[in-house]
Amino acid sequence: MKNFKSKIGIAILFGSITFSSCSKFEEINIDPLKANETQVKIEYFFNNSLTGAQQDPNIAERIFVLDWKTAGRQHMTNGLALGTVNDDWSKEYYRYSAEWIKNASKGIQIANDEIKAGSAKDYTNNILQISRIWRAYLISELSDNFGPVPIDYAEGVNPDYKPVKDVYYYLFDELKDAISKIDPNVKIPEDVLKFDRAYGFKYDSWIRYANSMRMRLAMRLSEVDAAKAKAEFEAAATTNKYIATAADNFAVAEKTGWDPLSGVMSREWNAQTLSATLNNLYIGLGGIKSDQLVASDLKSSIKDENYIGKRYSNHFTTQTNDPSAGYWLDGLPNKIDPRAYKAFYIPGDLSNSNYSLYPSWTDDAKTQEEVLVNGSNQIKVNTKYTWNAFSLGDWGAKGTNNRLRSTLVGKVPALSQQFRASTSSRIFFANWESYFLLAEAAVRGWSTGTSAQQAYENGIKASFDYWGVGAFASNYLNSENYNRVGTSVKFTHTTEPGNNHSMNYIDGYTNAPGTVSIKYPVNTLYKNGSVRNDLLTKIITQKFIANLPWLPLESWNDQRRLGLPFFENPAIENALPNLPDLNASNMMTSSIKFFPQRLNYPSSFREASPDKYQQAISLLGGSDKVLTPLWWAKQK
Amino acid sequence: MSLFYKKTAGLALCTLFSATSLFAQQGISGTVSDAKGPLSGATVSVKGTARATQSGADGKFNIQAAQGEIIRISLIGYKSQEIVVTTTKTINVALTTDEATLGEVVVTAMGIKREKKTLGYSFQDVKGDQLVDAKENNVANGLAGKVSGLQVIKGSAGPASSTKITLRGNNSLTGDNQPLIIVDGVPLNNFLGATNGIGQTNNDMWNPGTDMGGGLGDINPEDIESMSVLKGGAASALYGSRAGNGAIIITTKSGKAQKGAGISYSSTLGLETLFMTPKLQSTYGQGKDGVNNPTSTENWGERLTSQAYDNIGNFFKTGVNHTQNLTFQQQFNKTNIYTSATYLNDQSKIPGSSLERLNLMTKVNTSFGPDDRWTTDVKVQYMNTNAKNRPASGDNTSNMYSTLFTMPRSINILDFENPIDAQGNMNWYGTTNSINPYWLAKYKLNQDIRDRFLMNGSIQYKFNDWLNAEARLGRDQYTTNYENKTYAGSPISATGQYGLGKNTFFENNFTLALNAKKDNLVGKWGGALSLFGQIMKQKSTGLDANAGNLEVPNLFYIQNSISNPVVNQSLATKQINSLYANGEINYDNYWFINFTGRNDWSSTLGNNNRSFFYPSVSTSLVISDMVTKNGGQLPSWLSFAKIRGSYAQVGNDLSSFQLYNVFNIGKDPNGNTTAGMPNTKFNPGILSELIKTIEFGFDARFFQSRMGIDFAWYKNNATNQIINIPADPFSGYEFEKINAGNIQNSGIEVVLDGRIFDNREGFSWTSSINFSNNRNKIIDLSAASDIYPLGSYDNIAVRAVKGSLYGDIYGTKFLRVEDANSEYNGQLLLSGNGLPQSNGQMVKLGNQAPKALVGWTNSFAYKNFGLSFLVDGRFGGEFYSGTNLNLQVNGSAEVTAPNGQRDKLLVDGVVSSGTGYAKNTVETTQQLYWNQVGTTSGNFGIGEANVYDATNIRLRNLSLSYNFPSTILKNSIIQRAKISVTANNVWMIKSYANGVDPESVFAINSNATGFENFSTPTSRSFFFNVTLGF
Repeated sequence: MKNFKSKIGIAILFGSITFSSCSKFEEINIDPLKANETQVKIEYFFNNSLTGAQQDPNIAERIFVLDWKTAGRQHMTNGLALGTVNDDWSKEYYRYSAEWIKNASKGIQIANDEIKAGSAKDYTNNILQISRIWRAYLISELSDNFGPVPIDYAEGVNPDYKPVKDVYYYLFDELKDAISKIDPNVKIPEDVLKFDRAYGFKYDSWIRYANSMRMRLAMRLSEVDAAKAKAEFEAAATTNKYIATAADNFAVAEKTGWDPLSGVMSREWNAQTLSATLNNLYIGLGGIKSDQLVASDLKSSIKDENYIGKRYSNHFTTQTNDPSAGYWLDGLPNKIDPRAYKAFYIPGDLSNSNYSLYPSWTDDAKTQEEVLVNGSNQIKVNTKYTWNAFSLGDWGAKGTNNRLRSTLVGKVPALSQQFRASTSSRIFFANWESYFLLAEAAVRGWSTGTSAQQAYENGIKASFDYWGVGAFASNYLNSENYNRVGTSVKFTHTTEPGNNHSMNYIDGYTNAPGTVSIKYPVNTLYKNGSVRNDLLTKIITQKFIANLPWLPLESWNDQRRLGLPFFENPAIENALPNLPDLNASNMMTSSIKFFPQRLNYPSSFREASPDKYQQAISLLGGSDKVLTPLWWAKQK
Repeated sequence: MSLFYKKTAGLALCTLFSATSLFAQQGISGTVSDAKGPLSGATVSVKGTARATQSGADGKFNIQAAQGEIIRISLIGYKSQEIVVTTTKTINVALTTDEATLGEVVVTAMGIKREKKTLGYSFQDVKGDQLVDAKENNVANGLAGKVSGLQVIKGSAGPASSTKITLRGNNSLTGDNQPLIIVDGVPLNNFLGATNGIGQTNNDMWNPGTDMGGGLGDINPEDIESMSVLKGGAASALYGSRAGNGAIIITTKSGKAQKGAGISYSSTLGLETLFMTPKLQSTYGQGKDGVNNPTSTENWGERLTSQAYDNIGNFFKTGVNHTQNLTFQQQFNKTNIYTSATYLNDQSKIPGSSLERLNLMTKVNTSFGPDDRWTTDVKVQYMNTNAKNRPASGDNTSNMYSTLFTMPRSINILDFENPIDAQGNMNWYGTTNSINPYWLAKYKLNQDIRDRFLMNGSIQYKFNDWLNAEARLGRDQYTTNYENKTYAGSPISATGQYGLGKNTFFENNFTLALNAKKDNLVGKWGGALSLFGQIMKQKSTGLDANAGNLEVPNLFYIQNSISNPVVNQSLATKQINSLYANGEINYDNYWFINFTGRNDWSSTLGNNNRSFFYPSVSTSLVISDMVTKNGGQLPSWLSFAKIRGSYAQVGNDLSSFQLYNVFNIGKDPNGNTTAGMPNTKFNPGILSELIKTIEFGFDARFFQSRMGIDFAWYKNNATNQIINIPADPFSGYEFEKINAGNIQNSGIEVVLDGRIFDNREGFSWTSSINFSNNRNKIIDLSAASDIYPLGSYDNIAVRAVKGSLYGDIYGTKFLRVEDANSEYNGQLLLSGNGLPQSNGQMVKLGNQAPKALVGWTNSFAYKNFGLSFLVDGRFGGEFYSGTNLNLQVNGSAEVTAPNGQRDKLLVDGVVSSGTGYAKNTVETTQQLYWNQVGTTSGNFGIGEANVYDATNIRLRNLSLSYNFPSTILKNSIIQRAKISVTANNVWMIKSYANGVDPESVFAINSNATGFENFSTPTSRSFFFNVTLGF
């Protein structure tokens, strides 16, 4: 009996302990470190989205520097330019891009709910519209990399993928609608302005940005859907409220450290040396003499205008259609676009305050002596005060023996320190781009409210002002001087340069002088290579130069859309595994098969959403490969 | 004298007093012995009462008993005897060995001790000395090859690496699929692998998190008495939700009566070297295109005129490991005391990496009160681990191994032994962001120190000989502090980086149990019933701060950051209340039926789904006993036979805070507020998981029990799994939590053992082979998808695919002619350059699961010498080796210079010739060939080229020991002395992956074990041990 009682006692004890605590369970499972829907605000989400999209060094190095700058030929790096896609970078970009877009979208959803519930602030609607404008940019950035992407975001289900056409049409509608719904009479409180690091929620600036975005996106469809492109472009341009002055530019200040505001080009090991593509455009363009541009102690290094350099045929590849291939310029070019010396430092010009000593753990940037190896012989080359850009591609043994090319840093011009030290402002949209878009539209005969020449010249002036070389603008604009690809600046000067021109050289091994006929390249992607100096070529050449260094994606977009400007083929001393169609017999012609057309969808998307992945591929209209052109791009 | 001390001393006195108090009953004394002499540790009990004692070191015992009562004397390995008390006050008992040793008592779930023959499921245990003999830092590694159906996946991240154990395959798509670890009734948090400061796992291909070691690694192998392996289902059902992948029950040592003082001292010295490394070419040096280049990181340069440098051998040193262990154990009347102190110091083969571990343990159990009705058991285990410089893995510059392996053969790593120059910058070759491994060892430092307590206390009261009650409190708690410092002057950071953090964890388990057991309850039927109530509370917190890049170089202080320091905080807490019961019915001690039922209430599930119940039933029929008890006779060759079967269900709950969708609040770099969405979409309606197991088996012993076989067949179905299915991040989430799936594991396990020679005075040889085969099949996944990615790495993916086996490896293949009408059908279709091409499609290349695991242990004894070895083999299954791929592309792999030559080669295959195919005639070079194979179609090239058979057979362990005979020690204070030599990973008898050990896995806590990429190589180790007893 005693035992029986004890048992009962224990049973009761069990029961009471067990069940008394059940009521607390609901409480235990609420995470005290997280916020609920009533605690978050659209401005927090907007801030997160805008800040994140400035790209922390992890994503910036991968997508901005190694993908966009490479595909946009802003620096000399093989990688994506040779058709090699790095899945890990795409995976990271997909994840980051989703983060930016979903934060913007979630803010919009939260604001919509508040408005519906009547709990919204009076300014909530305006931040909502601004968030839509911002999100339109993010979606376009995503689509321009991969092709078909969703238009519904952050809805908790794997979204449907839409054809690029539908995405673009959606973006036009979004931008137009958002602009129309901003109520400029509602004031946003001072303490909320800090959540918009771009414009401090200035309505006028956001509307200008939205219209400029409409122009950019409309122009993208010029080759594939001209009527829509024209209609959307004209609708935006005629508002006259686009980014027209530097004060309107969409720019976000960078900051040192390791966070989203750190400079996008700040990783020290990315050499970011001058690309051959850019150098061929720079040299001779605008006719401004180096003599007017460089400090006095550099002047003695300036070479004659018709001197191409030293020929080292065993150390420089000629298996490419780069017109400068095979030569080493042992000094500075006679005439050059004045922005070149601002954007890139001259090797050995250590007194230049923008000389970059990156990578700081080596002395490479300060070392201006290197060798070309010839068996047991070494040919010394001094790179101080010289200006060269190496063609990309595989140089085979020539490249391995050419130690200048193995090191690059300190041997060829590289990006100015001002863009590397996280002390600039990253530009998302600048006034010059509005002008070059207007110029192109006018050339196409669309109604823009301005003339093509006016817009073209305004664009160049805006860019010159940015670089602080405005003093050279008028001479520049009147120059009929051809650059290495046969294009001049003067808008009315459309005379073709001919197929080649004669230049002097010195044989690097024997020091014997000689004369050589240098070909202007045949850009078979644009008008089948028949022109080198028409209006559109001029405009895109200027746009390409002005895009450096902030808008490499736009440079890549223009080249995919128009085949402009001229991109040299990668050198093929050895076959390139991921550009299988490029070979010695066709290397003097251009083809979309020789340039990256998009990024493959990342393996994470392929694995996570296999059905939607298949949907996206079928909408792409080709296989999920780097050489499959997007809808708006040149198709062959 | 502090108050605490007084109290403790007082309590100890009380305990001692009560333990030594005498009863007012007639004393019976005697000696227990066998043919060779006195036996200590035999249980002497008076039947039908709670009175019991054990024989001392001299075999003597004292017990109170009245005339007519029955005294039972039992000892494992001997036949029990029962003697009726008469007027004689001295009873000397000679026990005879039980040849069958089937009365063996084993520890099952909830610490319930049962005779092995009564179990209705397969059961294997491993004795502590077998684990100690393996001399592994992490006790989990000592299990390799010893238990059928148990796979040990050993991490290779240095001396403090974690180790993963799976029992009978993977039940789950997510989670680590590890069994629950119970130490003396207390669950031990066996966290694993690469987690960051706030507990998130990171197995990224390029920059994975560092393997932070596993929870089981904190345990001192010397303190372990035995480990019982409960392979799932009925065996572990009583543990409930957390034992869905089985359970391993660790019983620590208790004080035993010892001759002499009871002190023993053991000292071990270990040496560790690399076990196996990939085969490298030694004839070509730095550069490309056959040309030397001093900045190149590749090996496609000139033919070497001098010897290639052995950079791996030169860099990795011989690791030195020593362990000092001091144990005191003794029995004082009814009180058993065990205390031990162990210090381990492992200066690993990896320069800069080390592990120190201090283990202290005290365990006291005592019986007291009238008739010894009260029993208390108190234990405290303290563990302190200090790990320095856990190595980085992944394809990145901080992975020393990848830097060393791809280093040009013409560069000597020893030239860079001084890692900095006069300016304090890193001293290294080339222009890339590659990092000098010596610099990493000295200037990229990480350290983590964990203080851990594992404690339990229990008190038991025996109401009578068939009923007792017990209350038990167990606690596992730890705090880990970690810190990392990166100095200035390398590509990682110009000014240095700094971070620190802290994790705390505790889990309390409070259990009340009521146990009743009675034989011959109704006729020959007997029964036992246990009821349990339990409350489990768990909480972990984390706080870390990261300075990022520093302003003042090398000033390691959080406030010295260039931008705002990033602070992360984490919290997880949960509670499970449970009621459960275990019932047992036996008929005449040869038929046993066992039932369990458990109901859990988990705080982590929604209101309606919170309570879940799951039952199990198992039965065992000892045919041999049935035959003899019913008057039959066994054939002379058969000693024992038993059949068994079981069915069980086990439920499982969620982690904390995974029901409701909420938002993250954060700060931007300027200090303004941000809001964001968590990665995973939660679902408030989520249900508990359910794993169903069915198992049948038999065991039989032959020829006076000298040979035995144990066979098991099982089938588990894990259904309703709570999984995070990956989502398109544009859905707003990267994962969604759902209930889905049906994963089936079925297989057989066979253990054969034999005492081939059995001469205790002379030569004896015992041998045991275990074999297991498991088929891990995906019957169903989710409605959303038939594919679940276990890991995806560019163009290599490891997947669970509906209808296929768990862990299919996908990748690209060589493009081949697919035209049955062509004479070239099946041949490689090459590009115009005469190079192979990729098919461009992800196709199945293999499966990561082994088809069979075999372990073969042999032990020989001759007089005082002992020799044992373990050969184990894994048969079947494949893995993808990223190491081999990287070595090929880099030009360092042996295959890139066949026979030391790099002649031009003509790839065997065809090219398109417009209308048909023509044999390839274009020659290529080794460089172009491997560059093509390794880089086309993605970072892992043509996947088919680097998928290897993971089959491997190795001599895992070899151990030789000598026990000094007592005649030598007779006149010294030393009672026992033993010396031994042990070697692990002695010989890779067979493997297929060019020197990459299939055991070097990329990410220990990933289920994609079929992917390898620059894991630190595995080790071979030698240990010398001396043990002295006083």
